[in-house]
Amino acid sequence: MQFTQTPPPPLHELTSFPSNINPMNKNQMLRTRQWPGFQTSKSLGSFGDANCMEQLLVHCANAIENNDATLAQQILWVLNNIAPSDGDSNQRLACGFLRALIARAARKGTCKILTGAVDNVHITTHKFSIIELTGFVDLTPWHRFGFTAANATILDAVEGYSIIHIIDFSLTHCMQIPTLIDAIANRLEGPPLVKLTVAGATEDVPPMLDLSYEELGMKLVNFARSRNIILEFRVIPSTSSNGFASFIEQLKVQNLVPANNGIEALVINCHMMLHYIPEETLNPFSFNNTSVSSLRTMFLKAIRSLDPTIVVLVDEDADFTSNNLVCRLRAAFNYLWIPYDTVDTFLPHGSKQRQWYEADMNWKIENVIAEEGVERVERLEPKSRWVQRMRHAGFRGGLFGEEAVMEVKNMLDEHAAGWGLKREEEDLVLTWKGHNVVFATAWIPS
Amino acid sequence: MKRDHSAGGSSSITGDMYSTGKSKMKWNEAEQDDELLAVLGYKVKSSDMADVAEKLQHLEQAMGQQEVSQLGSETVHYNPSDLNSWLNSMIDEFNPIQSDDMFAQSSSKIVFDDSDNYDLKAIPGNAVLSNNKRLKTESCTSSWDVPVSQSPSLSQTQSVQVLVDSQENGVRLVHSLMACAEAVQESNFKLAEVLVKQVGVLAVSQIGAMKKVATYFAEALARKIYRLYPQSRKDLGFNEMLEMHFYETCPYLKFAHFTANQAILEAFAGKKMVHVIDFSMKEGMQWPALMQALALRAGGPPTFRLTGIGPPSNDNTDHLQEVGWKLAQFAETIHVKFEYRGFVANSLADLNANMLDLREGETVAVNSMFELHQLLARPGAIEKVMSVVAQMKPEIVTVGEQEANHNGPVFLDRFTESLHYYSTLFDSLESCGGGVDGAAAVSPQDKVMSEVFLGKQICNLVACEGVDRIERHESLTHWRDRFNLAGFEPVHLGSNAFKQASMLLALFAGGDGYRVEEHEGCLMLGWHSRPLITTSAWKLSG
Repeated sequence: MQFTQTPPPPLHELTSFPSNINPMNKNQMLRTRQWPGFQTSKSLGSFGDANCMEQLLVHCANAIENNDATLAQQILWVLNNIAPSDGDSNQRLACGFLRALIARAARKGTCKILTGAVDNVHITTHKFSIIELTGFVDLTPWHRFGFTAANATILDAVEGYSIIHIIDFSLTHCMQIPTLIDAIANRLEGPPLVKLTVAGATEDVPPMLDLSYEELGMKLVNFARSRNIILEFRVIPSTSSNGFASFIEQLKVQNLVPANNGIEALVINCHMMLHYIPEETLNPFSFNNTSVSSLRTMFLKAIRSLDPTIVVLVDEDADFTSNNLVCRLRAAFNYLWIPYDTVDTFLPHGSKQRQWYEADMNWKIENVIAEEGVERVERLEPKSRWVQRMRHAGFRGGLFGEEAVMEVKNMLDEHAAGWGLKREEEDLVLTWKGHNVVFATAWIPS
Repeated sequence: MKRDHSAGGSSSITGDMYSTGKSKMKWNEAEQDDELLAVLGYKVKSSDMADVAEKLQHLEQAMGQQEVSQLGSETVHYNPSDLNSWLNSMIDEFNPIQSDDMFAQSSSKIVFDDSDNYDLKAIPGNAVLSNNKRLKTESCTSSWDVPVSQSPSLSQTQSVQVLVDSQENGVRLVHSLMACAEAVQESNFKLAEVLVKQVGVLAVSQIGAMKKVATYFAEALARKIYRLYPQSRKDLGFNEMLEMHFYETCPYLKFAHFTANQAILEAFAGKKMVHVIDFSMKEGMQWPALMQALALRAGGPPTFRLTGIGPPSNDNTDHLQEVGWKLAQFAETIHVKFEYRGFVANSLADLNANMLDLREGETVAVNSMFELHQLLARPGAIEKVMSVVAQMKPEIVTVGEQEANHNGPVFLDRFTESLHYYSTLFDSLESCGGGVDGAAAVSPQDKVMSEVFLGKQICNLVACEGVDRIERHESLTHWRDRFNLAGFEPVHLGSNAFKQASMLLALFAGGDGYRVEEHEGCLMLGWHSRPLITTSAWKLSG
């Protein structure tokens, strides 16, 4: 047996057994089974354990993928004991991954119903009311950063237009809009007519809303009216899984898109939604990538064809697109520790909101780890890749003005000390303890 | 039985024997070898098994010249337990020639056909056996292959099933086994001999678990009848290798390990110095997972001492030390302070608490996986061991044992119990990981080795007596009584252990029939409704 550490895959070997059993020598008889150890970890403080957890999760993933029931069982047993769902942030993070791995193992093979075997195997995510969601997104800069940066830049871009048409591709169900309407009402001569068009449903991915977009729209219209703004609200049902193709088509068919005539500004606001559109790795067998564009590429081309006044693209800065489970696991583990780490700073232990928050995180983890194919919707790409895509689609980066930067900084001051702001070329990046969390980019047609 | 056919005078069987026409062995107690039992790895006196075999072939041949339907209406089943005379009567029906002459004349035609299908060729002789793709192991093989299933004279192989329905054969098989065991109990060895051969014939028509179980039990009975007892502890390394395969193939040992580890982990909560005394060290498979869990537990790992106890290796290596060394290397990679000591002992009863260097302030766990029942072979041994364990003042004692009563005073009862037990066990093996639907693929070698592993237990249980019979399984009720007597009380294994066991089985067991049950704080793993393995935990009462 080798109990020494080995680098990741393949982790263990079974000495192959000869098919005619000859008198065996000792080496053949003592079948080796390697228990994977770790790279000798330097003491990294609280990250030492996290590193070990990650290694164990990686080994477990490998064991599951290789159908090594013995090793997978052993590691799952260990993880079950060292990653309680109510432990510290590292433990809760590992617990989320553990559940995802169990879910993945359950989808393979002859698994039967896991009744009560692991607590909360089936993740039920909370359906937020408007009030709850509003309060929720305000708790941390995770979304506020993108809102603030985007709104500031949008305001600059739409100055002088009498009609503002906002197309909102947003994960947070128009939570950005009230602040924007407020700002429009306060700052712009006008008041301009505001059109708001949204795509999609309220229940696809967390955070999920407990009312329909139609109902949401009415509330927004009323809110706008209270600010003396006339708001036209429109929903075009569409889905990210086909790159919002029907949405774009409808826009054109219904003549909703203005000619670039200086009167109507077209704002396309993308807030953590575009990463749900399938990209190239979903079809790894397309022979010639240039001739078969991914839905993501096609979507960007389509919005370019609308000739927008400004496009804002905000998303999470990580790469979840690898087809290799272990790569994805590492990427996810090395990014999603952040929400578990931050939650201690804004939600008390055991609070209901914390449960909702972490349930949503667990949903994401399970999607990345346990799902494959079209079901795996969490396809984050890092900022560099998105920048490349936008440039390729015919956009060039707009600068975030000093005012935008100031506003973001002021916003960050309202939150815990670990949050920070970074400028990377033309873009803004939200950081937690120095690690990139969310990026914000602004684009105009080139 | 016919024993009046002359045969060649040599004492070993080779292919040559057959090619020169000497198909039958003279029943000469001192000299001749029974070719079939030779398959089992030792030379025995000849039997008239070959007689029966040839007669059946004759019968098939004769029948082949007739319509099957005719056969169905005309066949009269005589007393099937007297297979020989029944066959003779059948043959007489078809062929008016005197059976004796027939055999003497036609034996040369039939017996040394060079067709590869002819099973008698498969009987050793090394030269012959190597042609055969059947698995050969150092000890008894599992197949009691009677050369009746293929007849060289027919273009396609026709099995005995033409004659009798195989399901009926299954029932007959069990009855024959039981009848044989009863005969053995009554020391009626002549009858037992007949019956055990009948079992062999009937087993051929079975498939799967039934066939294997019957074969092993028949072999064990044969050993008892012919007084060819297996040597216990013949090859330690071999036994451990078999156990490794069994460990990989099905969940039983894994279940026992991780339920015990759960109890130990919980007992070690908050303790800074821990010491595990393992009565069943073997390859140390149980410990990496526990050490890993201790390494990453809240508050950091304890210092971990492991004392491994095992029997002496029969080669020159110090196996216990090797295992310990590997665990030490592992401990280093996970940053656990580790200390190991190996103790070689022929029996656990040789141990005394003062040998173990138990230190002040350390928390002790004693672990025994399928070892305690062996002590029941010697009077006083289990009591000694339990009192020594009590002297160690353990925080917890974890025990894994077979859930069965195979140690009763009446042989027939033991036989019956174990027949049911191992039938269930073999049934579950059949379902283990065919690699279907992405389930863990178990290699055929693993499975076969697992069967050999269990076969050895069966052999010991049935064929041995006295101090040699070490597979003296007893159920939880009995163990509970013993532990209570020795001053221990149960530690409930808890819902955490139960849930984990259920989950891990659901994910990986590879078979649909496994069940985890909880009985008064102990956990049992079984197949369908039959518990097979029990893990329990104990501490000193008071």
